[in-house]
Amino acid sequence: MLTIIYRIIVLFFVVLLLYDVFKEKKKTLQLTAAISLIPFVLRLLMIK
Amino acid sequence: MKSFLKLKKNWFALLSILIAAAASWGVSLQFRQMLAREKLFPAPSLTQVLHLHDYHPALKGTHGDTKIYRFEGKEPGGKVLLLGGTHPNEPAGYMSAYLMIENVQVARGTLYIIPRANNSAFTHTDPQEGNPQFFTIRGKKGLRKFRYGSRDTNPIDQWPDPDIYLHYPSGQELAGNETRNLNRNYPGRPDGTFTEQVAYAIVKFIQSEKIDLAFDLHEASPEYPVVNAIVSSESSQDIATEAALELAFEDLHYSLEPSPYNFRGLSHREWENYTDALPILMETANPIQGRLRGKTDARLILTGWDKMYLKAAKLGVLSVPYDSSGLPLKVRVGRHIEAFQKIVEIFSRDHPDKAVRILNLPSYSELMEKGIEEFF
Ligand SMILES: [Zn+2]
Repeated sequence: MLTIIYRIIVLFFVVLLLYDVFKEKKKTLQLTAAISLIPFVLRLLMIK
Repeated sequence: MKSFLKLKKNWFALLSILIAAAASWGVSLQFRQMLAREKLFPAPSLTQVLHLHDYHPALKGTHGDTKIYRFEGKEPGGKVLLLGGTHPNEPAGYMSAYLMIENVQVARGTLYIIPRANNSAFTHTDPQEGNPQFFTIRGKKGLRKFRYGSRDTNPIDQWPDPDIYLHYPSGQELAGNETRNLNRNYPGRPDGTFTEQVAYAIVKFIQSEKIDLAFDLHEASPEYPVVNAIVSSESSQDIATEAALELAFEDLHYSLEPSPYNFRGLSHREWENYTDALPILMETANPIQGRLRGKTDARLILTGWDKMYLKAAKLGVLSVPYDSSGLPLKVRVGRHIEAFQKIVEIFSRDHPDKAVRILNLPSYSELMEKGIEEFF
């Protein structure tokens, strides 16, 4: 149960960051948002 | 919303996501290697591969499950168990087990080998130690990559640690993290913590297979007093003493340590209390585990050479002889394999009906001459 809630929270951040990658106008900020996705995706999939 | 995905406008966003995806993929592959088990090439005389879950089904599909290699000789005889990898940061233990699996031949009796006793502890390394993840040996069968692990069960399998670990069934109090130390968890219990269940399965295995003589191979830092040692209990002290004497004639010196009555949870103590096996634990000296070490890398595992230990030896604070030749893995594996063969030989002499005859393992001097590469 706790794990599911945890993963929902992580998913929330993944969606926010994905949204941000497309929303940002500056290329550097788009790339920054994409890089910030990495740890969240790895946690969401329970890889790392 | 839909306009986000318009390729022309957002090509850089898509490219960024591709870069992030590629990086995640790469990192995942590298991280997942920690869970991989080394590919072994067992000697043709291998009779059967069993699993710990055969003795405690709850372990099936967990990181606690591990392989038991069984070598049965043509002639009936006694049963010997060898455990490596109780502590996967003590490579001479499991490398001796691997070497035996790949080379041994059993003429009489049965030999069981569990090379990764605490398999979960192989899947991570100790935090804040800067330890290497792997080390490699250029063996006869190719470049072999071996894992260097942790002393304790991985917290992903057992978490959180209590402030004080209470040993079952004695109630003995130890530091909280010892709850994940397999060699403090014997005899274990079927419904206990992850590590207690692994210990339980091993004890159950020893009981069900009616093991006569059981070894647990370790290493410790060169400044630790119990090193180059054979630890034995009440039932095994006679053969341990005989072995230490005979090994001394070969210029391999061991200190004899009695298994303490009141220190509970250790393999030799609880195998003595809960099984009919004669328990033996052996220790070699391993600089990468020591507090005095300098640069910590895979080279140190293989050579055991460290300038700080050389300095410490000159100051006389080590428990073992140490000089500029270091303490190479072949010396440590050589000691384990030589002493193992000696003890099995003495046991067989004393118990002719339960004799076990093991062939094809190198002697200490043969290992010194050829190196461990020759056997991998
Ligand atoms: Zn150990």
